[in-house]
Amino acid sequence: MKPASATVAKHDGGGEDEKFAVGNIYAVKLITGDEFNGIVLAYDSGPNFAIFEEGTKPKPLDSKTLRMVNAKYITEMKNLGNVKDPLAKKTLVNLDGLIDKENQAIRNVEKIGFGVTAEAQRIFDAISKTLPIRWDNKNMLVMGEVIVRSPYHSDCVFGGTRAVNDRVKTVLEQVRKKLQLSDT
Amino acid sequence: MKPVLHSGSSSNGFSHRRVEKETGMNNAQPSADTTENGWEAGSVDTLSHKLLVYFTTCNIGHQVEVHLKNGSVYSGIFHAADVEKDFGIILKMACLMRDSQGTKSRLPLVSKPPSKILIIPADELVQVIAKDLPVSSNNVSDSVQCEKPLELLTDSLISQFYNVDLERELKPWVPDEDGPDCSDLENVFDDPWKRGWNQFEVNKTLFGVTSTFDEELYTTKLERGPGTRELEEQALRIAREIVGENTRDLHVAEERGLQLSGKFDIDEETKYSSVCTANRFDDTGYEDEEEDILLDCCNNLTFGDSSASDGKKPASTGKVYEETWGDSLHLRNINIVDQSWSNSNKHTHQLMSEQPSKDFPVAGNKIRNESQLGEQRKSKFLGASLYSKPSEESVSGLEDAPPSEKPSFTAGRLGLLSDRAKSESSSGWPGSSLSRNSENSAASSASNRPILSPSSSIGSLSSEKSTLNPNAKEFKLNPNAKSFKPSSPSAKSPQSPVPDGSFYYPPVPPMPGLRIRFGMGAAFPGQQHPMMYNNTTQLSPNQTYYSPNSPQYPQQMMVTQQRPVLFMPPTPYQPEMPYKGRDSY
Repeated sequence: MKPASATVAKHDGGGEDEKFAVGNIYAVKLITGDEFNGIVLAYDSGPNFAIFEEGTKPKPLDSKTLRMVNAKYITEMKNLGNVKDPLAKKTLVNLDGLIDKENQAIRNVEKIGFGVTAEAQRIFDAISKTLPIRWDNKNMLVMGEVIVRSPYHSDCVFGGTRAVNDRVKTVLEQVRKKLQLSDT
Repeated sequence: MKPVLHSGSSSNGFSHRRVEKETGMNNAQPSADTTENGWEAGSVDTLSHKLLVYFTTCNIGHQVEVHLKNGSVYSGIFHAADVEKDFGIILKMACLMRDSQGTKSRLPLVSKPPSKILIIPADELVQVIAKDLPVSSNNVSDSVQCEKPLELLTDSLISQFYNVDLERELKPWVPDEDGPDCSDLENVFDDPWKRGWNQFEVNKTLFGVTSTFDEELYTTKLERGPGTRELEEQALRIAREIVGENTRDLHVAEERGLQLSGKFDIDEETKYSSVCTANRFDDTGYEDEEEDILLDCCNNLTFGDSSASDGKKPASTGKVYEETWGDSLHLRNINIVDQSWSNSNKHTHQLMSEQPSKDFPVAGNKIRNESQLGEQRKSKFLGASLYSKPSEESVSGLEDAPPSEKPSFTAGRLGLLSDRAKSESSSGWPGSSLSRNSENSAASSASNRPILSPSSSIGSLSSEKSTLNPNAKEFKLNPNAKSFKPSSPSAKSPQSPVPDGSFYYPPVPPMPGLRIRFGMGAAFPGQQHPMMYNNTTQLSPNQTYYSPNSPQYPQQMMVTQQRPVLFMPPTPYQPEMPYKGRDSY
């Protein structure tokens, strides 16, 4: 059983590589003033970036706090020991999953209206469960056709065909009722 | 291959991803000369580079915090990094969290909407912090935000229901003071006989439907004669016995209002769920050996009995009766017991389970299936076997009656049970007769009660029964059995005919060329219905058209649009089942 650090130490390379051997634990200080303790997970001398896992003990694989640090801006590194095999086992990266994750995250951010009231946001969220809706500045755009303007009551619904418009109105009323908002 | 990640916004979004994927896959594959955790050994650059790429890839899609050289902090979704060159990164939907002057806000500054894409050159970049990042993608496949992949997903979470905290204080329901007082509804569970509600009458009044319900079509026919009252009394007494007897089954006890085992901490699920797993064999005072014998009997029946002594097999069969039959069939068991005691008492010392032994081959075969009772009620078997003991006891009540008078006694009694006659039973039928039997005194008194009990006590065993039908009787031609003859239409005419008005004639839409064939609805006994013959002419449903050529069939044709009407040979055959309801065919 070869420890990982031994493998890395085999290589040629500057002191950087040895310094950043996988498994070393350091107390790191950055030029921004930020300080943290971390275990070296990866380092590449090309870009001169190191990846630390925050903390002094490895955490479970599904929840680590990683720090990708520009080694150029590390002011101080104090060795706190080292850990064997911070990566306990071989792992996989599911790129498609990550792409989905990213898209989902973007969608979630887009769901948040900018400069709208909390009430408006709640209405938006409630409608978004059943109808496609997105923000258009401070207006809600439902099904690409119907605009709901502030203050987002049934009489603020414009656009679209009669049927769609009525539908949006109904949904809006129900949402308001359910959220126990004022009814006008 | 070199992964190339361009930080320029004009880059083809897919290229670097594809490359990254390959690299990522490479990392995952075992290769020669690996370290113990599977990472490829080799030159520093290769291994550590791959590690870097791997971890960088893990960040994709994650909300990260980026610290810049000038002190400003951005928060955004990690999109890409140039791992080949200098590690510039791209964020999406980035917000400034803290600007270079140091003003900080926990939430993104509201003054600016998030930037769709933010490119940060490596030189500015000090660190990228990703909190709670899953490094292994094994469980990052849920569609919800991957905050904690292993967290239990509730519906509220998935639907992102923000009103979860709007909880109401629950109060027990009290009826409105001024609400309608439907006191009639409160006695829903009362004896339906008492309520004075006759659904048939109501239907007739409201809808003009006269019922052709005849209970004798569904159950054994009761012979009502001089002895009816006594029969009813017997039945009632037996019913009371059954209901009042001890049971080990938790559910049966609950129904009867018995407190079973004194364990007050049985939870509701055990009490009221349908499957009772642990409560069958608790020690509520029954001898264990009884159980063993019961089980043995079960097994014997199921798996055949090699040692088919004459006592064993029938006994097991008898036991199985008790197991598999419901309470109403419990009577049969009493029959069996009765006969056995009357005939021989050699086995009285044994447990009651074996008492049915003697006569069983004789009697049991006769009364295996309730369905065959109908046939047998005309036969004398039951009556004969039932009353084979008269020499020994002086039985009162119906035992005194000559057997010939009671061919259908058993069946009748069964029927009576369902009638819920209220009369008191005058004499204990098997119980008292048995107790009078001097020879059986020892066993009888002891087992008078217990005879009833095990049957119900092992009611819960019924789920263990084999799929074989222990009641199945080998076919023996019974010459006296009443043969099934479908009654001719004329014979049925005394029955109440369903008035024409009650038929449902679905409207016939004009469909040119629709050929509708003759069909026969379910029997309308004894009626000459107007025949609908719709070939090329269009008729309204109420008109009749008697074609001079075609015979007049006593049948009703229902015309529907949806379903083809079956053509049935026009015979006088009419099924016995009266036509109920107005279903269109």
